[in-house]
Amino acid sequence: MSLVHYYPGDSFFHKLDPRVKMLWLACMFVLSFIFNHPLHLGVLFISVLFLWIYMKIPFSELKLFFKALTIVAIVTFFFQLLFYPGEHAIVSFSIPRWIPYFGGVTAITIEGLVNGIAMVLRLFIIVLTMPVITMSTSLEHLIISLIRMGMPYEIAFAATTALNLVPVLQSDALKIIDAQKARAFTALERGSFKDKIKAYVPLIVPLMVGSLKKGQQLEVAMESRAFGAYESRTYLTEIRMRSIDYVFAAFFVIITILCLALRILKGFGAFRL
Amino acid sequence: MEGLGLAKDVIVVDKLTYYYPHSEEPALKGINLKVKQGEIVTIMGHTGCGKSTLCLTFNGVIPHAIGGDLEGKVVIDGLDVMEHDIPELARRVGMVFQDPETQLFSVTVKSEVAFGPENLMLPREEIIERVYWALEATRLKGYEERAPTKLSGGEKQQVALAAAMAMRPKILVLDEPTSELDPVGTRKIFSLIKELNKRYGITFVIIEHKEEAVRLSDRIILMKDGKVIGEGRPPRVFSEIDSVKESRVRVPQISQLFYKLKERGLDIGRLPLSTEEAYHILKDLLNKEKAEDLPVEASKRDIESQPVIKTKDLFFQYKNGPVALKRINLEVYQGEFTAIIGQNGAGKTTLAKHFNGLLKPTKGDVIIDGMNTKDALITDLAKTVGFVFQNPDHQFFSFTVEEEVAFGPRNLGLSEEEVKSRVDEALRMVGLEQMRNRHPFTLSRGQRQRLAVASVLAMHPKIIVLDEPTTGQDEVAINQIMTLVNKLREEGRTILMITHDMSIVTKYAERTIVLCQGEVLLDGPTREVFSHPEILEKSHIDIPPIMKLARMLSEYGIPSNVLTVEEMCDMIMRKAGG
Repeated sequence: MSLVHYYPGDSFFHKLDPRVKMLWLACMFVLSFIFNHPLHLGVLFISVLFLWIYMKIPFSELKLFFKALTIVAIVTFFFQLLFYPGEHAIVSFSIPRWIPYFGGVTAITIEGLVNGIAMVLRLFIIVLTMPVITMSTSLEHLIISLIRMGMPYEIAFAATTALNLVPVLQSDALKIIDAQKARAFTALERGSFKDKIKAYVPLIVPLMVGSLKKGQQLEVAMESRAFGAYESRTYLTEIRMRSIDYVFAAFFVIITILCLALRILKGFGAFRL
Repeated sequence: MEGLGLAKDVIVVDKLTYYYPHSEEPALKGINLKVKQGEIVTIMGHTGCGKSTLCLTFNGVIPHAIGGDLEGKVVIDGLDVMEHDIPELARRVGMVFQDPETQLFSVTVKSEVAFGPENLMLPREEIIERVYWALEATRLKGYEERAPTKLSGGEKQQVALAAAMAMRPKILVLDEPTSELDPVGTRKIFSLIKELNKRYGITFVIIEHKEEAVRLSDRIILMKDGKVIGEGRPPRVFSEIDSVKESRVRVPQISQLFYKLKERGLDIGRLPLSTEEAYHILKDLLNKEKAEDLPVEASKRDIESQPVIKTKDLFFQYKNGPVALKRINLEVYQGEFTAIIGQNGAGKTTLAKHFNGLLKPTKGDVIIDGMNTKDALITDLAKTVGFVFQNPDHQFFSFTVEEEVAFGPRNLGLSEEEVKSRVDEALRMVGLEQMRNRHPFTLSRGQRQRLAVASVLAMHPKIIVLDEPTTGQDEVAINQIMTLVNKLREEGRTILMITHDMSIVTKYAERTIVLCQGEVLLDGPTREVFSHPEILEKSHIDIPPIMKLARMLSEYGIPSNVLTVEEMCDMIMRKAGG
């Protein structure tokens, strides 16, 4: 799973200005927090899923995200189910107070159940929206739009070059593991959990030294090409807001404001019994 | 270059002394140097002699970015480095470094090349113009949208050159641009240097160990311990063999030969560098006669015994990748010294990793000392096969040299006394007893390589596999490591060595295996393998100059299968009536 992997394509979302995509992200965040009705959150969730499929991002990527989120989702769900204060019990029972953590829980309520589902949906919406942007936008466009939005260009480049070093470090790590195996070090494969944790120490030493060295070399190489010479710089790649970008931006903002107003005035998207 | 006499100096270094920050000892000590416009100058010297430091002053990275104290003067194209900042200097001096990984950082070739001009705040139209111009100049047209990470090593360095060219520099400084490349990539880069010099009059300052660089240079500068100790046209520099040896630079084979001849009383009066020159000098000394080839000796192996390595119809395919090894059938016997050669991507390292079970065959079997790697434990294989990896930095996990060597024996579950005695023994063998409490990463490159060997030796392996043990090292370090390897072979260990350095192969290996696209192309005694130059050249293997010379002189009584400088020297002395 790599958050920076870019899947080129020509869907409308691919073509949107990265700044509009980020606006969409912000809107999704706001909406997922103002709603707490599973139905409304469900619609948001399906819209995100739809984008993944529409943009033809390989199914395997989605599966990896789901796999990574499963445990967190389950824990979140049960936590809400048991501890969310509600009045409409589905099942009642009582757990004696002396039992650690669970003592005092008396019922599973409808409110708990609904809130549990809502929290899980929120989690998925938030985690799955971010990659939609990175997977539909080339790194160059992403950097430039960040800079246009006011991020100092040195920081934008530092962040992205650091991301670029990740695969390099991954391949270094594999080489180091090979070198350890070649010297009969098998804790990473056969050892107990404690052995495995310990086994990562000898892995981290050469990896750290390697990445520090690489960072320094990278700095010299960039300086040699006049990086950081002036307050700002020019760009080969251009991004420009087209009218369609303004239309979508307006659409996202209006929908969000509308939902927010309805939520406050009419309780739209709020769960009530 | 004859017209250079009138050209102006684009680099002037005057009494330059430089201290790195927090350093008491100067890295450069009173350097004086001038480079003329359009010249190709190669700086040679041992690791840590200050050659890279010197070059970093040319674009002001030293001292403006790195800091430290600089005394004396460096003037680039009329600009005093101290008084001008990096961007101004970067328009005049382009830099290319050794490691593609840490100088290419963009998503596409096009954006990589545009990076410099963008930093110079050039208007977009000019950036586009420069990008296409630089790609054309470096023969990279059509690569615009390719990802630099997906290119071959040689192509990556081409991109680095393009990125430097896009700054429209007068001077290009290349710091070991080919040390990570195979002969194909190396040739590509050197021919590109020549072309850029001819077509655009670019001045080149190159840091390089390879003979190709010597052939291409107008001038050689020898450095040692922060000082320039020799300078001049290549033949002249290499005729002063003492200063060359002092700077721990490899002497080109042809110069070695004539130096040896001189030592034995055959003084020709000058020392040629090229094989053609050598041929013309030598043919006048020799009589025209047909030569008998030298006999091919089979390697000293114990054929009676079982082979220690045996592969049976070995196939290997990487997951979701191409077939990397095809139908490999090999038998290696106890005590053999075998070189494995072939261009990058031929499958050398992949094959070697089958010998200690890091990789398991997709089809077929690998039998190591009677164990089939398919069901042998990695611990048992590690005891039998010691593997010294290419980059020492990926194989040290401990905080002291001593601990590093103890790592393997401890994993084998040996008693602490046994571990201690093995550590002592291994450190003694590689000559690092004095360093036992140092941190591995504070050792020099050559010492780190020997430490890598020591940490493998402490496991008492029968077989030692070395993956490019001499890459990126100076002549002294190379000789140290090869002397050590030779000693291990004399003790009866089986040695397999992957290398691109053909002069090492011909000097040390009794057997050579040539891999090409995952298949064994040639396998036999080294002398026999090297008597098929057509096949070797097809798989892009460089024939050492001395062997080319032998071929040219075969009508003058010199056997065409002479392998080493020493053999050539003996033959000439005999024939020339010495």
